[in-house]
Amino acid sequence: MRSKEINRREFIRKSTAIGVGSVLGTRLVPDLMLSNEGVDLAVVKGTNYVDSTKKAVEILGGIEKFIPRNSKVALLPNPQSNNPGTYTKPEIVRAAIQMCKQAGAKEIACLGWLTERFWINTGIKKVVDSEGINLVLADHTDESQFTLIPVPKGIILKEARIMKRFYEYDMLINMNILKEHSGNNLSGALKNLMGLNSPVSNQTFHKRDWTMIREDVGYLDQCIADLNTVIHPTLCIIDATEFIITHGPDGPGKLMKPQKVIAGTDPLAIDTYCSTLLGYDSEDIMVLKKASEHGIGEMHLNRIIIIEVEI
Amino acid sequence: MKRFFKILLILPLIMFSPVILKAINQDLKLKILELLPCARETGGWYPEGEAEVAAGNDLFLLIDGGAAIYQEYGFKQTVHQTYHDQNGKSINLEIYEMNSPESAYGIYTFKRSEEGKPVNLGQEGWLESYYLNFWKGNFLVTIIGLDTDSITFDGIKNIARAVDSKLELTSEKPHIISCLPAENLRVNGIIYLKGNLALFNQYIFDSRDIFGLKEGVMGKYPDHSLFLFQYTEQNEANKWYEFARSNLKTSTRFTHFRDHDTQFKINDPQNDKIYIRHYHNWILIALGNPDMNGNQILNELERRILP
Repeated sequence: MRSKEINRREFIRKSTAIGVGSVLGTRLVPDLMLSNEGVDLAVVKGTNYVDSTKKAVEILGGIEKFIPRNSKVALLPNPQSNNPGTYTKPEIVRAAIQMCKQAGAKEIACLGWLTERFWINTGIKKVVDSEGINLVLADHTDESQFTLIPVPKGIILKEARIMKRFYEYDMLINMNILKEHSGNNLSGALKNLMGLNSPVSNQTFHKRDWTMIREDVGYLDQCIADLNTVIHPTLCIIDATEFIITHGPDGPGKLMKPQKVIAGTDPLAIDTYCSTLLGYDSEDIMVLKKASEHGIGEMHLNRIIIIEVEI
Repeated sequence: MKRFFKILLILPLIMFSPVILKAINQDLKLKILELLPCARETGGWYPEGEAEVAAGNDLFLLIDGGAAIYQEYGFKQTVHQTYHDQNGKSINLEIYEMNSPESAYGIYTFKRSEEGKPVNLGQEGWLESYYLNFWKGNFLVTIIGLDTDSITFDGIKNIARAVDSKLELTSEKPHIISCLPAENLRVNGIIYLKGNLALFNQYIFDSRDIFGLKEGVMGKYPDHSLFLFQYTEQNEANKWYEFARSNLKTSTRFTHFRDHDTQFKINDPQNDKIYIRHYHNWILIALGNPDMNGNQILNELERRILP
């Protein structure tokens, strides 16, 4: 993702748009002030999560900018647990599906290797069925359903084991929920790609040896960063509506409710912004540094152009 | 004699044969399933769907990356079961059998939040806004309401009491807990540590295990925190003290490094002071605001540890 230096005049214009938009709502802000040119992140606050999701993508330029007609689209929400604040809200998944249909996608599917029970328990399966799209699940006990992918830039992770069926799709919309993670402080867009990687491989991100592990946290973060060099989402839509800020990733934990949906194409920029919602300084989050070292995106908040509105 | 050696050779093959191991595992699984209460015991909450049991590394399949901290504390097996009432409300019950009472107590202290309040369950319990945790013997029990309705809240407590009544084993807290000064120690401010991941979640000294932490405790007080790390012998403690010292001295995260005999001091990014001292087979750490008298605090701690 390119980063853009904004000149002073443009900074004032966009800052004014953010300020007015945040206070009055987008209806009173002319669309031309919310120009998508050079916008890295769109952040929409609101209680209707379907509307917020669609607005966030609209600010970036609209779904047609990302999803070509007749393309096959894979969605990657997180259905890991049905404890409050730990899974992607079904309404946000619904909004993404509806937008892809609007763009004329030929096929839309939610992908993952967690069993159907997880998707049912989180309510996402209900949305999948009602919207008439596919739920494509890999059997995590069958390694033949995963394909070995070399990770040439991998510093620790030299090969990933990605769901074979993922490669049947043209576009990927990464749809994690933002939450704290006891393993490395942040479960965000970068980490969510582990949902496509075989659990046999994922487990090695966490465990090398249970005795005298000195590189544990950094090891996990490096593996996540390495994985992001071989999978590149077309678009990221992040659930930052209600999430746990302690005892992640599966909770239960303390809930925070900023009611925000975030959209962008740079997963590192997204996670950099999201780390602030969790109360962290981005410098403290190692996965951001590791991803930046790979050139995955932008990790300095002052270089990320954010449009934030409330509807 | 030959017969004796033959038996010695054959015995491990029998004990560790797949059939025998499967039988042992099945027996363990049945024992934890027996802890699940039925509707009669829960005041009208019914088990929904099949219970999920996971042992050892399979915990990763159940709770993904959340498994790492349980493994650090010493995990044996778990059972997860959802309950629902006649109105469709749901509660998740998670029972974790750990390797020891210390492990169970440790993960309980890790999961307990800074808010909430004590609840009379198990050997110790903590009630949060929509969930509770309690510890008893080798077991940690977590019960989560999927909404904040008062009926669900009552259901959480009913299920908790039902599980509590099935757990018989009780034990003492780890001895290291008693080393913390009791005055002004927050009730929910004790975290028993069994490794770097637990420590990393309390305070970021370093992402790496620079203390070689195997057993420790954190105590939270109104204006400071204490960390006590215990080692098997003095040489080991000294080795890790020196390793931590050399890393923190050059760390970009900390400033104002000052060295003094068996102690050094640093400032963190929030300008809090940190005193780190080597004392016999211990590393002692006081972390607090700039006004904190770290020397006095650690001197008193030394007297408690080795009076």
